[in-house]
Amino acid sequence: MAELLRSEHCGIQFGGLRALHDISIRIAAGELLGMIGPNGAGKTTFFNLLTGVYRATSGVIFFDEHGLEKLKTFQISHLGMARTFQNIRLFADLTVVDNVLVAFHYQMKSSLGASVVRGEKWRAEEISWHDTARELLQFFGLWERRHELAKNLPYGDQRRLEIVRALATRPKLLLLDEPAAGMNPTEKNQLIGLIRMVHQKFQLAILLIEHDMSVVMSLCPRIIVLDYGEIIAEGTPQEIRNNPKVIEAYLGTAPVNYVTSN
Amino acid sequence: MNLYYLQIINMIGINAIMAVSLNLIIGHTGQFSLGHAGFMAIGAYGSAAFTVYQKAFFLKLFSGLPPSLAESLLFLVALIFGGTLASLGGLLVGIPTLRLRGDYLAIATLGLGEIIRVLVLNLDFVGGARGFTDIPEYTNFFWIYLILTIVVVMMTRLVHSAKGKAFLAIREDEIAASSIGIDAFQYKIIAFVVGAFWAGIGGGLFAHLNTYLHTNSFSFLKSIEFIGMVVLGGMGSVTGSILAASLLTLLPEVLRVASEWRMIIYALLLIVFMILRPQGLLGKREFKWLLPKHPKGKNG
Ligand SMILES: Nc1ncnc2c1ncn2[C@@H]1O[C@H](COP(=O)(O)OP(=O)(O)OP(=O)(O)O)[C@@H](O)[C@H]1O
Ligand SMILES: [Mg+2]
Repeated sequence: MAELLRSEHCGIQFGGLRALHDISIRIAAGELLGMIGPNGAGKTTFFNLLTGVYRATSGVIFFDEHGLEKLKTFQISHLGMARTFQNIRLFADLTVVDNVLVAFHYQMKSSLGASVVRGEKWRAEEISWHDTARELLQFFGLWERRHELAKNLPYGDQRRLEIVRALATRPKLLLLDEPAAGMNPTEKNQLIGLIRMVHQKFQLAILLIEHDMSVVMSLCPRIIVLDYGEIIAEGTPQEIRNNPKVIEAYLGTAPVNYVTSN
Repeated sequence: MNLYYLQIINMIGINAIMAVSLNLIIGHTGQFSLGHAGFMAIGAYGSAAFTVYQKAFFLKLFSGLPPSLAESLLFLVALIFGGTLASLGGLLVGIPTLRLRGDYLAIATLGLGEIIRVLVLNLDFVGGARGFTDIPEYTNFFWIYLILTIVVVMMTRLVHSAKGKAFLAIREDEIAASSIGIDAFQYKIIAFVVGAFWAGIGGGLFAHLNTYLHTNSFSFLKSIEFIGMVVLGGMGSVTGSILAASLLTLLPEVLRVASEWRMIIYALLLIVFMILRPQGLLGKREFKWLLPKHPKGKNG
């Protein structure tokens, strides 16, 4: 499969702290890749590197054949990378439908001036984006709540809305940062179904950070494990489960069979 | 109508223009600017200098028209000139400062307002420290409320469109806005330039209403007064800004009976207001019937 993203020997340093070191990763178009690792391993930092929130202090990243080192976050989004955040970052005081509409921003043809003049063309485009937003929201079961403020949604809906907003940018790669955090087992199962469906319907690659093993293991054919800012393992769920380094990273010196039997 | 009341109504209109334009910067885009009186000053002095020094030229250029019409044209061009100067000022301050975090931006814009004041104080052709006198009295009720209407329609259409929601997204969460492809810096600049433009026009109206200008009218306390209007009205509410501008213009007049206690009561009332309604009079809501409709109506 075609390569979508490649990071080569990426690292970042915060003062004396080496948050990431020598990270080389490839993601193929349409792949569903998992990323796990203990707290503070550097997973979120890696997302922030990819999306231009932080700059790598070493190494290079290519996305869809573009080097990312000089690009700003919004330009990286234009290339087709979208993300959700570990701590939900919705536009809290905007309605559900507005949270989605605003994500069409880059795809809109009308200028800002056109929304003041409001000609026929603007009107037609505005209506068509509203229709697209409705389709998306209906698909994710959020249409009924379209006029509610994002901050008033239940937690699970907020997580879903964040995914919808990211999808509205029509990404080729979707980065999900712990989408299952704070969910109960039923919600987690629904989320697994949702991610699987998104992956198929929208034909995109997904990089999934997740603490919950059952979620990553059931979704991702390939998993990367970070610990103290370094890749310590990479492989199928089966390989990861049995990798002694991974077991140690997660459980210190606990008995091996405690994890493998799970 | 009684001239005193007319004067108050006119000042309400001008202050509403100032508040609504500042609301784009603070209320909608979330950028805390302390320079609005500075932009107003640029527009006031710019347009006044234009009418004072270009009047003869204009009357000659349009000698075919009735003089009153020629003077209206002169005024219109002067207003646009002042507004454009102010928006250039906005661009000039905006480019270096809008990359800064909120509190730095506030200090930088505060500095700008003061620089403009000191600059004007030293420009002799606009009166310097004596003040700028003999500005023609062109502003009237009609001009003020026509322009207020235009500003209100423009501002609401701007943010009540899919594209214009970008302003609100930046206010809500700049990182999330960038992550969906919005160039936050560009939108902040646009908000600054558009806001400064209308502040400049407001200044032009003020200059040709008062016929006299002094830099004391544009101190940073004036900027704070405008911020008070935006905050009291509810950050991001256009109609709220108008309501608050009316209240805060009327209040000192009503309180004249309290003579020396006036400003103390004014301040106390403001504090009580904000304790009772910290989200402002209207919060983020609008008086919808006052505003233009969106094509998708309620189902959007
Ligand atoms: N802006 C920053 N400045 C300084 N240190 C930072 C910064 N961002 C992250 N770090 C540090 O980098 C390390 C990695 O953090 P990161 O948030 O990437 O971990 P994580 O793997 O996402 O953990 P979690 O599972 O808890 O979300 C941590 O030690 C963190 O404190
Ligand atoms: Mg994290």
